[in-house]
Amino acid sequence: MLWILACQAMVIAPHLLRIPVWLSIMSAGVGIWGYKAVSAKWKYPRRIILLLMVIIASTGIFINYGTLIGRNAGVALLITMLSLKILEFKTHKDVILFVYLGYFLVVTNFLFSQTMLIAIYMLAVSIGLTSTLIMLSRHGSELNLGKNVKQAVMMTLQAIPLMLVMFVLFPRLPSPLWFLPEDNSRAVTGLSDTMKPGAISELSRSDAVAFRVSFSDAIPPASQLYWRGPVLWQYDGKTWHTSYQKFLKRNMQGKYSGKKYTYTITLEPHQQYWLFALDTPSSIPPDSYINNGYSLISRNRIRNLYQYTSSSYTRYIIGDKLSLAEKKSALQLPENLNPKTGKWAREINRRFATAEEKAKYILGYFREKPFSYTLSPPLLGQNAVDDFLFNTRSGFCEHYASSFVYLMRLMNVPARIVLGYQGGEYNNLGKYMIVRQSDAHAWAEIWVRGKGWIRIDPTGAVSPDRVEKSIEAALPFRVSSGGLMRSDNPVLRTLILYWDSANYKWHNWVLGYDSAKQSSLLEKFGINSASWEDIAISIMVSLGSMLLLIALWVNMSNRRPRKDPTCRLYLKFCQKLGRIGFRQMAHEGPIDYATRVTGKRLDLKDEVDLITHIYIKLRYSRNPPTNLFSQYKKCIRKFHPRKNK
Amino acid sequence: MNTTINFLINQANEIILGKEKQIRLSLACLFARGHLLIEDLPGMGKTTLAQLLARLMGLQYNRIQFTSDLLPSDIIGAAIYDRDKGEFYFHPGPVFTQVVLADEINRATPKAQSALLEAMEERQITAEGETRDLPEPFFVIATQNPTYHTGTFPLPESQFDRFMMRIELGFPSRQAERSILTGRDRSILLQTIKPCLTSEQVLKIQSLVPQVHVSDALLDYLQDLVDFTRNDSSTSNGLSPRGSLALMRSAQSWAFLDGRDAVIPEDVQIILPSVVGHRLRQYTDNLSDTSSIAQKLLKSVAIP
Amino acid sequence: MTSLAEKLSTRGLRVPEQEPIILDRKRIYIIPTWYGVLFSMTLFIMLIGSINFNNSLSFALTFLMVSVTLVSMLHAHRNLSKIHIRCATTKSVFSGQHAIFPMLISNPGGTDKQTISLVIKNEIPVDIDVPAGSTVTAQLSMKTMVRGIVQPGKIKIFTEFPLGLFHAWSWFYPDIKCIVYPAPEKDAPPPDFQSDGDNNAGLTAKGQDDFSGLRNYQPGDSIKSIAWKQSARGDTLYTKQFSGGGGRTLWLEWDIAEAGSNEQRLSRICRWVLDCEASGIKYGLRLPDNKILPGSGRKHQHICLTALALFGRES
Repeated sequence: MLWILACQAMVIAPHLLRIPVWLSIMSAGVGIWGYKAVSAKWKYPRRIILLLMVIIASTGIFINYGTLIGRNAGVALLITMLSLKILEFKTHKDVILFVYLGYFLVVTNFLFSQTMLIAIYMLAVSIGLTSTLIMLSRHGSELNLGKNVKQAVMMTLQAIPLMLVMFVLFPRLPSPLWFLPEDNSRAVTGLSDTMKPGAISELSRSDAVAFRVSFSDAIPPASQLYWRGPVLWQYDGKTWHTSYQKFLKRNMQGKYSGKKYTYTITLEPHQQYWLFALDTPSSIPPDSYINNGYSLISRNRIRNLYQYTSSSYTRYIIGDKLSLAEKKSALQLPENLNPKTGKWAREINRRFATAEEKAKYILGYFREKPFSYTLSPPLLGQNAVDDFLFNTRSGFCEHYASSFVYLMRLMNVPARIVLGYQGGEYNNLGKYMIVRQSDAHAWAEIWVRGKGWIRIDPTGAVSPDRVEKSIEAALPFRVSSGGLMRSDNPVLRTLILYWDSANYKWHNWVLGYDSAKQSSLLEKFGINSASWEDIAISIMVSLGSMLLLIALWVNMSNRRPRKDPTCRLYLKFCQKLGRIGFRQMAHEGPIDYATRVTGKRLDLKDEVDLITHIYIKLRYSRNPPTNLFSQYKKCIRKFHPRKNK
Repeated sequence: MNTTINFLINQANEIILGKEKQIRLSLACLFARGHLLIEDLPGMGKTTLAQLLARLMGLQYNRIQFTSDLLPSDIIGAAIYDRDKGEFYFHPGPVFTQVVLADEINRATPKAQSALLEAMEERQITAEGETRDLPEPFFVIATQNPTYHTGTFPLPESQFDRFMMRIELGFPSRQAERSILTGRDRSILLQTIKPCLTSEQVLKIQSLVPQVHVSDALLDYLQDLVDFTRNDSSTSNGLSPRGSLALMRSAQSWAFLDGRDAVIPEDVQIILPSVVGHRLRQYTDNLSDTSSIAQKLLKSVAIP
Repeated sequence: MTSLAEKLSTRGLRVPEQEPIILDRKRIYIIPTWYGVLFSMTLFIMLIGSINFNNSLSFALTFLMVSVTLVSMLHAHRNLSKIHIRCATTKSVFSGQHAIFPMLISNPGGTDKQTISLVIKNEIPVDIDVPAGSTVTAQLSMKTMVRGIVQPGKIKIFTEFPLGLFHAWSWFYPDIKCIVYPAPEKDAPPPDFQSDGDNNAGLTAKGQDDFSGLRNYQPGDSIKSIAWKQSARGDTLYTKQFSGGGGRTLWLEWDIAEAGSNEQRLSRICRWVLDCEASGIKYGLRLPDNKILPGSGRKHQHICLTALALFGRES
């Protein structure tokens, strides 16, 4: 019983942080109650009380989540049911249902987290549940914990090959069957589609992985590692928005030159639509579009780990023809703000003719004046740009990009902000690049006639290290809490890289296994036209053969224990005689057997007697001569009795 | 040594015709320091066999005829008052000898039986507050009538266990019977026979028997057999450890008689009915008799 | 459905089998239990969920459980396969008692057979564990209603180990029988003796021949039988007891057992046989179709009781 409760605790444990506190307390209480009830100290509650508890819990869940069918609410409901089932442990059946429910709850865990650790943990939990089933199918009350667990482990091991076959071959659907209501209570770290001061610096404190990239051949230099995300056009004086979303569909309008980089990105779920690509993408992955900001947009919200392949050029001309609408939104500005900046902009506008010169001047201003790059910038007032440019002069990339674009727009230069990531850490072990949330970045683009949109990173003017190396180099000291993750200790760092590369493979091959991967894998095995029938047949065939193999394995262990060589050879000898009609009976001693055989077959007498004699010597006598065995072996090899005509 | 033993067996064969297996079994039992119980109907030659064995081994022997009025002191001996010296002295009974022939042991009362059986187990006798050792070697060869004959006291189960073997003689073959009918009187023949061994030699053989090698494979077989008796519900008790030891010792002894230095499964199989039969018989339903239980045991347990 | 399954799985078992009965692949059947069906449904829901969320690990776990289920089927099958069954001897019982059929279940294989059940139809199953390389006795009991010979018929051996999801079973038909004596009548009148000798005592007649021990004196004991020597040592009187194997001989006859039906007669005679045996009187049996000469002892008793059991039942 304690074991079952332990299983329940193990199943629920990972959910504990996600479900409301009162539910955790309730399930713990119910667990204790159940235990006491089984050991006959307390009474089982009446049906009506149970029903009441179910209603109360359900109401609580409804109040908490506003629904009963979403993922979170569903899990909470399941946990309630699982816990309350304990109070109903009266028959064998209740316990079995409890275990089945437990399996179900294990699966729901994966909806929240799919890390390797969770997977291993859940494997352990399922083995625990299986051993509970074994325990339940045993008669008698004998608690054979070790034996049960051993058997469960054994069965799981035997099941794994089958599981792999099913996992690989089972057809995957590219899109879900139906949508469950969204859960908005869940916070996700990642870029949002708006930008206000402090947003990115906040994000920079997180060491969470944004995505991983593996390049098919060359890796671009660090200064070119701009991962393009959403483009922001609209400014209200405080926050930047993406208002303009004209889809270019599957049609590229850029001019590209230089080296083409092809890469595969494994994107962590961020609950948004856009995809990231190296600036700027030249091809569109399936099921996605590109908009006029040259951001890739996925058709579906990225709820699960998502993998796509794209290619990019770092030298490009994009958007060389600016439409009127585009121009209008690229020049949009809030009214009556930042008077000081406006004055300064008019001044610059007078001094320089081209957009590029103006930009250069402003960057120079950033560089020369005492601007600083910091993760914790002071708060800005109503006239944020004025405050930043002339008072505080310290900020993060979003401050620089924002004020730069503001200035350019004031000078009638079309400009916009690009959100994304900059940099990335290369994992030599896994040959891929990790881009973390802390690499989040914002930069500016201005439009120049004939050159299209040009990327200008004002942060680079203040802190060139940020672009060249990484954020760690750029900041004077580490404010982030992720000291361990980014440790300077080389050993630890290697370990972390190992861990991450394992994680990457995990993501890539286990979690990211989808219909596309499946068909490419099947192609490798020569199944090209993966029609439903083909897949069904191959599943059947491989499952069948696998099952047969496992059956053999299972039966092998059912054989008699292995015998020593003397005995094995003797058995061979008996088999040879058996073929000519003299089967040895199980209870027949060697001499009796030999006598029986030679009584009928005098011609075999010498050989049979000799072999029997040596066998007895080898098997029963004290210290048989060492060379006897080889003679024995030879004799049996040579022994070829024929049937009597 | 072996030639002597073979000669002995041949000699015995001449007296008791057609019963070589039984003679060998008895010898095996005695060489394994066990006591022997011969059970059969009257007139089958039980006493002759017992006398013959004692004679051939050159041991001094006494015969005790068990009757219902036999008292323990008739077996062990009694303290007798010596008028001349004015004190008691112990007059040893017939049990103080190397071979005791306890004829028709089941005709005596349990009290008398247990006096003998105690001597068998302890190989010493406590009488009048003094413990006296019995001579070495010491054998009891008991004969008994089948228990369902009238006027018998069946031996208690606990005492059956003290006999290492129980053998049956069975009717002689037609040919052997003819020889008995036409030949000389067996009792006279017995008188003429000369011992083949001395008591020292017997002791020597007894010390050699435990040295016969018993391999692990054979021990496995022995234990399988014993386990089977313990699991088989047709015998409500299995063989006791004493029983399994007896099984091993007699198998060793049989191998020794065969002139081998190691025990093989056949040795076990041949002695098994005699060793196991009387130990298991008590618990079985009357439907099946001893030999069939032993046969079943042999048939059921595979040689590893 | 169960009866159909039974019919299918017992076909070819018309006559008792020879020992040892070996359960091989061909005679072991397997179907999912209701729990198995329920579990499959759970798995199906899990699968639908996995498809919907396209969640790889849910897929993996679901498939793992499917595989474990399949493996458990193999294990359940293996749990029965290569079992050797032999019958041990049965003890005869009286009608109304439970006949015990001891089955020797041996497992020559290398893995333990766990939680196997044997059941005679309409009786309570017997659960056993048979460790690798050993033999275990399963005592199957069967309520007896009438005298004669009972046979358990076809016996089912089944297991749901390890997960309770599959029911693997096999039928076997052991050649085993148990003799059921008539139930001894309670408070039966003593027989109207047709004894050979004197006619003066009841069933507890004591012999005069052999001294068998002492007991405390009871009023009414013959003065002759007081053990004066022993009594003189203390202050209690002892009576010498004698038992007589050769004392008396009784003929238990069909005709003197005056009871209503044949069955009542038989149970009365049965009672007499037991009483005679208990008090050491030699007894013989005379039935209309059978005659057993006087004797005593367990074997004799068995012969007599068997004759009673089989009276009128020729087989």
